[in-house]
Amino acid sequence: MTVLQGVRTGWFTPAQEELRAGLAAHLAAEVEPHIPGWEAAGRFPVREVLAGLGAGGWLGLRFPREHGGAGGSAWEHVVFAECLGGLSSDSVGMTLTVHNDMVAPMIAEGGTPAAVDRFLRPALTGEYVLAHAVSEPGAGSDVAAVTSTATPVDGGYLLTGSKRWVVGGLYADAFAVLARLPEARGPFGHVLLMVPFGEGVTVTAGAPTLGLRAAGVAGTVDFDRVFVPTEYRIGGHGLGLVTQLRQFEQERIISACRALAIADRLLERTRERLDQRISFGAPIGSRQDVSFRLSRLRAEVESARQLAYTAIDRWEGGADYRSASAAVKLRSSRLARTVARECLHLHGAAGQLTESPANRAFRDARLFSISTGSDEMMMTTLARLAGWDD
Amino acid sequence: MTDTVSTATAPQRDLAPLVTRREPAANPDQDYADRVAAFVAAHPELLATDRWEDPAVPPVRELIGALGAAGLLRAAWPAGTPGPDGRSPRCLALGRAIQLHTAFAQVANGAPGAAVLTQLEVGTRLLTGHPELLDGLLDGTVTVSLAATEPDGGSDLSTLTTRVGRDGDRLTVTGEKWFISNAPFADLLLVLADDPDRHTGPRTGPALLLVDTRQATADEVEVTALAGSGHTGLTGSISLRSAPVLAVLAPAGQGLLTLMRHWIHERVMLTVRMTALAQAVLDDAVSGARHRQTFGSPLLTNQHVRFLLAELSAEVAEVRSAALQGVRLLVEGGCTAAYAAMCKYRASVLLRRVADEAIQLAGADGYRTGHPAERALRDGFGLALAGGTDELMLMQIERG
Repeated sequence: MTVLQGVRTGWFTPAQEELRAGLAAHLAAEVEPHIPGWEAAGRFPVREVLAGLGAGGWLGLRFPREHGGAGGSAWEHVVFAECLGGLSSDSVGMTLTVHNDMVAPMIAEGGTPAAVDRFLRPALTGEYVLAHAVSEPGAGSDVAAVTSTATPVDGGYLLTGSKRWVVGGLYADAFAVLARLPEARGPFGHVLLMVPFGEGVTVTAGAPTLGLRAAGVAGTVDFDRVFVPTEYRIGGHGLGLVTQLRQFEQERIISACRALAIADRLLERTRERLDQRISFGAPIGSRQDVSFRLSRLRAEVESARQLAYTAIDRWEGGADYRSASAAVKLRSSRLARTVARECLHLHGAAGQLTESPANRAFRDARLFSISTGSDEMMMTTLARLAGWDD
Repeated sequence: MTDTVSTATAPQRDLAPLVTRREPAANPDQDYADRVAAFVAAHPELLATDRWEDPAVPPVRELIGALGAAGLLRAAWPAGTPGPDGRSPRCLALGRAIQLHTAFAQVANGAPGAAVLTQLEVGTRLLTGHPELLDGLLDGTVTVSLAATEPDGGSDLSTLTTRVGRDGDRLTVTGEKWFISNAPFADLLLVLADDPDRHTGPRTGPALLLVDTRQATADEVEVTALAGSGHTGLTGSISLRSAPVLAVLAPAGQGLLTLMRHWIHERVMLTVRMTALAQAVLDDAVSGARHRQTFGSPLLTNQHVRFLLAELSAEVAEVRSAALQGVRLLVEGGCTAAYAAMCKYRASVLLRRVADEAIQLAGADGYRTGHPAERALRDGFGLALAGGTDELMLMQIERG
């Protein structure tokens, strides 16, 4: 089984396919061979990986040149996401996505010149690691319910609060933090702040997790009266939630592209393995039931991929992509989990070893339906956008 | 961790400018859409749901005739010059075909759309190389049907029992076909038949033949409407008894290959139609859930119901995206059998799922014969077989 011909036809330019080949080759040579060791150690040298990507000019490809980007489009970030999905560790994929496609875009689009210089430029050379601190004990999907508070003071804000489940938090040099204002209420009562790691910021490792074991997930990131200058605010005063929600709509499409690339890779690897593994005198892959199972999943992956590309096309074309974003996030998350579960089974006993890539993929993929907007939030969003009132 | 800041900049890549895609579904032809809408509004009796639930007489001939007279079939056929925006005639035509099949998925429970698709995307398409026949087909004065399936040969067409024969100077064909869409209404039959005696060419194997039912006697071509659960009244069985062959469309050994190339087109356009059918059923389910009161509230106020509908809407959007990419590939001449199979398989699964869930949401009313979801479920089972079974599609996907 191979990727169906035509799935990428017309969506990508030759230059973007060239970009894909170069980036995939870099990751295959410089990152993939180290993954087993990194996963065993429970951490990976994100700064080193980012430096390699920065040196190759692969970071922030869609951001303006004057901000250190390449002046490209969302399509280059799809290529980036799909290449990350080709890696056998989503600890790496997710951490780099947070850096390049969740935090960096907000600075590129809503940051002051000072914030761009301070955070974005070094992030795009790979010298500076960005993480996203939004979730709280009482605010997961309901991000508006954050209690971390930014109190306006002369020249900036005093930030106090506690964030949870921060991917890459143990590695980060700076955090994008969503906080509420003390007095304001409703959707215009938040600010989004870039907060450098330093005095007043305490990062604590969390309890072990099912997957993403090398992603440097911080259990808590505490901010104790941390002064953040106004120039490090992303977007307007009171517009933090609005800025964040808009960014979610874009990052969910990119996340979907990575999830689908993971599913794609798992189907390929599983097919290769089953073609080699002999049982009852024949390769397991020659059995019709196995082939049909893989083909069903391949069909779902390729059709969902078209929805992702359609969403990107709308985004780039200035059309409304909100429904497509939520739809493809929902479909891709569930699909990545289904594919990972099926492939885990098809790997037999070998798949039960925690060091097995199939096992790791199963554990890592489970997070897709929770992070970057849970499946339930995607269905809520789709229903609301369709006018189906709560 | 560090708080040091670098002023270094990343090396800049030279990225090619974004290429905006031109696609059949983009910039829809509003004039054509208006004409289709006007046609539907002007023919309430022809498109009445009850008429398409009556197994005796679904008005297929009248519909195709009226569509042809209105110029709606011809407009969805590639001909003429590129559009003002540079789109090719093929791109323009397929864009209109998408509009036509989508519109007909929304009337009379989508039933008339099956007949329209068979006429335009199957029969007429297979006669592309016969300009002498195209006028009648596109004007709707001649109807056509593809007769490939046999009682004991569905997916495996290499086991054909229908045979090419010879009666003096003329070629004949003898055999049984069944589950043939539009057969009860067809003037022309495209018949796949085995030719072991090389009557049609130097090789043996399946040949594709043209039979004109108007020139055959009732004994030579006998068509009987089948009482299937889906596609009510639209399919038939055909008995061919030394029926005269009007033309050899593809000689022995080429007939199946011709159809295999054709099925790429048919399966993509079937996907367009099935996705539109699923959307229509979903829209009806939403409307029903808004109005139906359970335990003192509209059904739609239940989170489970909204989530289910949202999930289905995501799946419909997904398969529509896949179908539209399929049409783009058709326009560019680069759609593979595997891609078309992927589309057709996904749409087939989607339609049955949406119909099944919509029946559940509608309760007993959804179980009623003629309810949009009930009809879609019946048709959906047929569409999991017609144009290539799900299993055949999975085999083609596997081959890549």
